[in-house]
This record gives sequence, C-alpha cells and structure tokens, in this order.
Amino acid sequence: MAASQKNTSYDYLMKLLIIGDSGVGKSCLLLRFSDDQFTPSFITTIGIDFKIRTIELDGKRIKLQIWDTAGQERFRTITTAYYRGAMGILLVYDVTDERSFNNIENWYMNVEQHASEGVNKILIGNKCDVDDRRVVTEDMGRALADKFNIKFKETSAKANINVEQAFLELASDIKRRLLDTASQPENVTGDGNNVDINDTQRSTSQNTPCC
Amino acid sequence: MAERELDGQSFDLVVLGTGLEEAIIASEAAAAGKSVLHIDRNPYYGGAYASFTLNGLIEWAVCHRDQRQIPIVEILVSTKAEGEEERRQQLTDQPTFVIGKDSRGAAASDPAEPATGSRASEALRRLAPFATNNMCVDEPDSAAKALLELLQNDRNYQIELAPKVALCRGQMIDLLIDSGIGEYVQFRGVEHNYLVRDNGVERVPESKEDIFASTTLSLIEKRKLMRVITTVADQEQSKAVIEQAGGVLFEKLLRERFKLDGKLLDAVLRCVARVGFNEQVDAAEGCRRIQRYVTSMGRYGRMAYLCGLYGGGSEIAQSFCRLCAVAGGTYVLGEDVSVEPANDGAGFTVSLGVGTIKAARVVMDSTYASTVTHGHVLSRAICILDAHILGEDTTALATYVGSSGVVSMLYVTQATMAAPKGKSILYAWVEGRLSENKVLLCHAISATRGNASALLTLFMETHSLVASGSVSDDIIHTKGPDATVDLDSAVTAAQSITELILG
Repeated sequence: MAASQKNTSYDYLMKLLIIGDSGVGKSCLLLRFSDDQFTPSFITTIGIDFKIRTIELDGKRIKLQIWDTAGQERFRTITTAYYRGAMGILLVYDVTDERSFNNIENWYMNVEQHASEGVNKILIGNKCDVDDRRVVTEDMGRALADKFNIKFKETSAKANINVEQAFLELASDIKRRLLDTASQPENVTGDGNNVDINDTQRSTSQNTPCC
Repeated sequence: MAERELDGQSFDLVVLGTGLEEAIIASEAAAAGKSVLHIDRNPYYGGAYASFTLNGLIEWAVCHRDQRQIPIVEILVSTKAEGEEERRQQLTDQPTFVIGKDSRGAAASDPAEPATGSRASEALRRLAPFATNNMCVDEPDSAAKALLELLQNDRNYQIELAPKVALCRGQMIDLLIDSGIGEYVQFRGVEHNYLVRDNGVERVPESKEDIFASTTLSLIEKRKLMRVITTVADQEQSKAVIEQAGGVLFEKLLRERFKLDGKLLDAVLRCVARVGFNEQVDAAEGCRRIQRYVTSMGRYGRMAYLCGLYGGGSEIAQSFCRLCAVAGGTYVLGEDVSVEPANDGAGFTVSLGVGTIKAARVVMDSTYASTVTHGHVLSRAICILDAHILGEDTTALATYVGSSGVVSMLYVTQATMAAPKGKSILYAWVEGRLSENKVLLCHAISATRGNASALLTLFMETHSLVASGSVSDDIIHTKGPDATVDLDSAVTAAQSITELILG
C-alpha cells in the first residue's frame, strides 16, 4: 500500500473487492458509491472492471479502487488472480433472496482460501428497502457476521441507504489495520520493487517505504 | 449454479481451455464484439500454464499422472533429518529418498500424534502413486515429517507448470499495456542471468557497465565482450557483420569473428541469445536475438525480463480471462465438454453440463481434441529448496551448459510471491524425453543449488500435442507452452489465430 510516486493526488491506494451471488446488487452498490448512480435495469455485469473514488479519512486522501466481479460469479469462475492484493472485501447478499444469503458461507471460504491473510471483510445485506419480499432478517445477517467475526450493514443501493457508510467503515478498518498499527503489512500491493508496466519512465528499482 | 442455464444459446466463439493462448484469443474476440463462451474442464484456470499451491500441485500430479497429456510425473521427497552428509549429496536420478509403497501403513498408525499422523498419512497417501519399487527407502516417518513441514506453508507457494518470464520489450508486455490490463498483473524484474557449468555459477555481464565492473573477467575477455555489445547488439553495425558472414551459423560467427570460446561463448550464445543445444541459428537470427535482449534492458530499469507475481503465466492468462468477462464473455470451469459439427452443417454443437450450445467457431487447446499425435516433448523439473541459492528475494534466469545438453532454469523466491520466506524454487526444463534427460536435469539442479537441499523435486514430461483427424478442420487448435523462456511465442501463436477468427 505504498503511496504512488507519480500521482500526488492521494496518499494511499486501497484495493477493495465486491463478491456475492449474481443479482444481489454488487454493481449497483459500486455505481452508487462511485458515481452516485442507480440503474435498475442491470441484468448481469458487463463492462464494469473497477471504479475509483478518492475519500478522506482522518486527513489522509485515500484512493479506493473497487473491483467488480465482471460477471464471473455467475458460474463460480472468479479468477484467483482477482483476490490478489485485496485489502478489503464486501461480501454481499440480497435480503430478498435466501439462497444468496446461504451462499455467503461459500464466498467466505473462497476469500479465506485466495485472499491474503487478515484481509478486512464486511457483510452486506442489500435491497433492505424492499420490505414486502424480505426473507433474511437483520438479525440473521448480524448473526452470520458475528459468526465470522466481521462487520455487518444492511444497505440499499436503490434508496441510497448505508452504502456510503459500508464502504467508509471498511476503508477505515483497513486503515487501522495497515496504517495505524506499527505491524508491517504482510502482503501489500504497490511494493516499491514491483514494476508497473504502464510506467516506462521508471528508472531503476528503488525501495519505497511501505505506507 | 442453475441447471442448463446456457441451454440453447448461441455464441460466436467457444474456446476450450484457459491457457495463455486461449485466454488471449478469448479476450481479443470479446473486445471485438464477439459473444464468447470460455470453458475449461479443470476447476482452475491456466491449463498447461496453471500454477498451484504445493498441496494443489501434488493433487494435480495425482489426478493427471495417468492422463495422456502428462505421461510421466515423479515426485521425490528428501528427508532432511538424518545425516547432514546425505543432504550434501549430489541430486541424482536415484535420490536420497523416495516414498515407498509400504510407507503408508507406518505413517497412518503413528499413535503419538493422531492429528499429525493423519495429516502425514494423507500426504503420503497422495504421494503413494509416485512410489516405485526400485527407489523405495524405508524411512516413512521422516518423509512424512518433511512433507508436513513443507505443507505448513502451503498457501505461500505458487508453483507453475510452465514457468516463463516476459521480455521487457517483448510482445507480451506490449499486449498487456495495449489491452489496458497492466493493472491486473504485477511484475518484478528478473534481476540476474546466470551461466551454470559443472565447475560453478557465474553471473552473465549484461551491459557495458557490468562488463566494465566485472572482477571475474580478464581484460582481454572484457574487450571481446565489448566488441560483441557494440557490433552484434547494434542494429546498424550488425547488418554489415551479417552481410559479411553470409549464412554462417551464429556460433561460428561468435567463435571466428569475435574469438569467443569457453564461458564467454556460452554466456553470449546460451544465456543471452538462448540458442538451444541442437538448435541451428544463423548469424542474422542470432544478432536479432541479442538485440531483442539488449533493447529490452532499460525499459523498466536495467533488467531484460520481468517475472509475474504469484506464478506469472497463470496470472496473465486469468487477467485475459477477466478482460474477456468484462467485455461480456461467459466462463464455465470444471465441466466436461464435447464438440460435434452441427446437424445443419453450420458451426458446432457444444455439449456440457450447463447446456447444449451452438458455436459458430471453436478454438481448443489440443488436449481437447479427439485424436492427437505427440508433438514436441519437454522434460521439466520443479525443485523446492530449503534456502536461497541465487540471491535472497530475487528472481533469476539461469542456463546450465553441460557436455550433453543445455538446460533453461528459472529461480524464484518470496520476491514474486512464489515461495515462502527462506525457501526457493528452481525450475529446470529441456526439450526431449524425460528418460533421456532426467540425469541432465539433475546435473543442472545440482550444479546450481550449491549447499541448499532439494526438499521436494517433481519431474514431468509434457507433450505439446498436435491434433489430427479432429471432428472438423474448422476447429482451430492452440499449441501450449514451448521450451522458450519468455511468453512471446504464446502471443504470436494467439494473435495469428485471432486474425483468422476476426479477419
């Protein structure tokens, strides 16, 4: 999580992932947070790679790079490469779809298997504005989050409920884990010795102090 | 997964196999607006380029050892406990320890630590198929211990089936930049290039500065290398040299015109131009290869090659798959698939668990073809070492030049997230059958590893298959990884197929 050398418009870069079943509203959450937009007609994710939004936390400008699944969750074919270097993960289910809630366990296992150890996670029950078709109660969501010992929020991308809070809470948890503690992050992206192939002006490799 | 969810759908292109070539083809077709269905029979991405944790590698070996595409796999686990003497021994084709068939019972019935015992026996059970009677040694306990110790850091290994690096000014890097997926893949520089001979390991001086600063080269040797750098590596200068030389072999040119021999000749010919043992390379091609190398230096620092993090080839293949998915491509893994010409004579019918699909075009890696003949054979060794050998936290290429052959090697460490801290992996490969090359691979590893012990060594023979008599000539087949060290041949192969499809 080294600060970028070429871009001074932010202090830190954080990579976040959104995962969960198809149709739970992952792309909608992402677009609500990044562009403050809501498009109800989204069927499957086409064309969203990742979105960027820079936020400010305790006086630090933090660039959030939030990756969508590119529809690869549909047949459970998310690449292991997707998880590399992720610092925070939003596990999303749909409160009107019990199967998506039950599948969180599988997604959680995938995260444990492929993401770096200690990655921050938050459980999101989306579509909380839909009262008449709700099948997963807030208590059920909270109980599951407690079981994994992670944070929990019910959100609505459509009604713009808690979306901002969910992302910001995850970001500040990451900041606390990686920046505010003295312990060295084990698996950081943007290691100073790594080569950014888009940056051909790069001179010789140099060690950038982490964080 | 919804049953038969894709049933009845039509796709412009169905791609079978998620190796590098197939992934590039799929992503370029999707980017050009084609509807793409990309399938792999394995539950993981990468095909012949896949990378695994250690446990995953053992599982892969167990699953694939009897399959036609990997005819031979052997895994050797050496015990480190008893006798430092033994550890220092040369790695030979008769290793210090191989798990025997009888090992299973002993490890399983270890009463002292039931949990450890069962994990050990599980590990041994997995490896049991690799045991051969003639190499059986009766030390199951220490083998189990050695294996368990290795498996403790399992997730910190990313072991590649076909390790390759990217030339800084090569087609792969250009393609990654052009496709905009530089964000997906992380690289580290390949810091060093080594020449390994039976009498030692030496760094290959790569630049004028290197040559100048070298303490192992004599003044005459330095002068000779400088001449190579200023003429052969220079596009203009080399033209005259090539014209004068006519169709002479590059080796002859280096020997006669530049008076290179011994380690200097090996360094230039084998480590920089990467001319194989029986490969006939003329002066023009040799100069082109040197120039390709030299121009690559300086693009990202002083190194000519980059190595992908977490097992480069597999990660890059996955990145192209993601790019394809972002452009609307559909992915299905872990499904058996069959392809038939469509009844109405147009295109193909593709059958798999999630439905029967119509495809206008089909591209497949040759392992999916109904009948194949064996093409190039490669012998590979993957050696997990208990220490760093060619530098801490570095990545290096090495070339072993022996009297009976030349072996390409890639050394990786924690620097590329390929191995846990303190351990390293040495890959070695050479064209030809394992039966004829195993000793050569062992020599190469022994000459390179110094005092480090080989904790686990996997040998395998891979075949690039050539499809023959397939269902239809309209099916396009990819080739799979070759013996070259860089990824560019995969790009060239993929792009010619892409042109065919989109053309």
